[in-house]
Amino acid sequence: MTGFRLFWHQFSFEWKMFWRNPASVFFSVGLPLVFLFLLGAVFGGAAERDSTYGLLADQYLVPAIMTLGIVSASFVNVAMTITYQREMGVLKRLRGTPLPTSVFVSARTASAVVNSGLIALVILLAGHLAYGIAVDGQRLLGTLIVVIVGSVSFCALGFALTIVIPNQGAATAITNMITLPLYFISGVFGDAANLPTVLSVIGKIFPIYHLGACLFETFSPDASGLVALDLKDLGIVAAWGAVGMLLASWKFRWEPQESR
Amino acid sequence: MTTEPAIVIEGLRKSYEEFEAVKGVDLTVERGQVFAILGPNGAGKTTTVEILEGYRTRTSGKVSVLGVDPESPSRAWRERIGIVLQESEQVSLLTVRETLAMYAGYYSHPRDVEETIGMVGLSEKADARASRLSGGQKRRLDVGLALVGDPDLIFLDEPTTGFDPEARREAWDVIASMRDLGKTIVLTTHYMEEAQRLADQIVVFAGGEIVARGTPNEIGGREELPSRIEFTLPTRIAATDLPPEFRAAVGADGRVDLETPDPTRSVHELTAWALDVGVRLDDLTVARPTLEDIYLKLTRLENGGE
Repeated sequence: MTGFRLFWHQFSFEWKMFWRNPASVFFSVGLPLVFLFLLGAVFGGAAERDSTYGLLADQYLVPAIMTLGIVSASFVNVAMTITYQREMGVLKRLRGTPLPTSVFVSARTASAVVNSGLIALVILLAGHLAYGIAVDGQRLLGTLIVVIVGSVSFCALGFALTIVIPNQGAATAITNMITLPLYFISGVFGDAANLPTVLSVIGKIFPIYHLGACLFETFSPDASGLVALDLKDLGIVAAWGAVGMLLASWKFRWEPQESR
Repeated sequence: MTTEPAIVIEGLRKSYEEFEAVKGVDLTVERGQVFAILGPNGAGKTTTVEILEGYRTRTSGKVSVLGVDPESPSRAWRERIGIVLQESEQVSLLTVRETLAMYAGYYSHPRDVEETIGMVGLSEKADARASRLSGGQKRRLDVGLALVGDPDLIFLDEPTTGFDPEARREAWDVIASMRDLGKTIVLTTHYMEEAQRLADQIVVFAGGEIVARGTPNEIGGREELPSRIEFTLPTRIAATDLPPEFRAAVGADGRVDLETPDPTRSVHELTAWALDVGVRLDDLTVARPTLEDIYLKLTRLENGGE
């Protein structure tokens, strides 16, 4: 099997494994939906618009939770499952087969991209049904581009993060320690413009803020252009992804780090 | 098929910072052989095998595996190698059949998945998730994954460690069936019995070196090895009172432990002396070394003597 067929082969098994893993499905699908409805119950229906994008509270929720879903399905999922597979010797074993590294990494990433897209779609539908969020077909193309670029970049960062995760037990703690505070200061759980300056400055260093910014833009009534893409924010996300890719290709570890 | 050896190693060394794990190993594995690498933990056997598998670089020496230097493994080379790792566990959420089908897809001429399932005796578990198999079944799946690519050379790193006797016997049957298919098999183990049962050739590793090599019958020069005479030094007898060859063999605990190439003569001298001075040697024993003794002795000597 060569080229695309091998990629497809690996992709189909990776995808199957994701959906059979209750933890993956919970963190990537269940948790974003829980947040969507919880935050919707708390802030929904408010008449104020956010200061940056002019979105009503209900409208704000959908791209905010999409950000969370994409980060969960790519960054968090890759960091946790790859660490687990590394510590159980699964990666080392795969390394001993003819499967090229490029096919393994691209199939895993593609699986996360498809999952991110599906999750974004579920959140959009839930937002439409529960909060009557308008779905603008033209804008969706922009959203789709952000989902793809975002999930590829966050997968690369997930692969890179495994470099510093010493064992399986630390994987959950480290990924949550990174993502949870960043969600708060990146506008995922509410308008980032209301944050103290220090926090919002810190938030803007990291890519979750910029992924969110891209998605808010594609939903913003004030945005101009056909697909409402903010190329600067998207570029920052992609640049972070590129850094992740470089780090991962430089220091990625295939073998268990703790003797079992 | 060529008659070129499957594996040739010359002067292999591997150092990790201050620790030298492999200190100059030479060995040749012929095609179609079952080759056992025996030794205690930390003897350098896994390091050596992982160099052969392409997982580790070496510090110096020449290595050829199926005519290729494993430091630059190509995809074509990987297709001909099957690996069962010591530290790998199949935790996949895929079933046995799916896991084998996934691995089969990596090879251009894989073995039939159903046939492989049968070979490793997992037919009844074909639709069970890999993560729900018992320890022994997971190991058999692991062997199946190494076989599904239909490789010429198979590495098995301690395939039966932690097995109960029955599971070990089943694993031996699987390995024997691979040998019957004409595969070359490199097996590491710390069970003498396993090596004796399966291997055509054995090398014993200790302290990063090969301390013995040969067929199971001749390993360690078993035929020519000295016999061992043991007894407790009688009270009121000093070491210097003993016949000359026994004087240096007295231990601190008062046990005398002599290895002699000529037990008939040594025993004669000892008993003649004992009758002469009128002492009894109540716990006198004379023994030939067992294979286990040879193995323990070889591996201890190289660890700085006990």
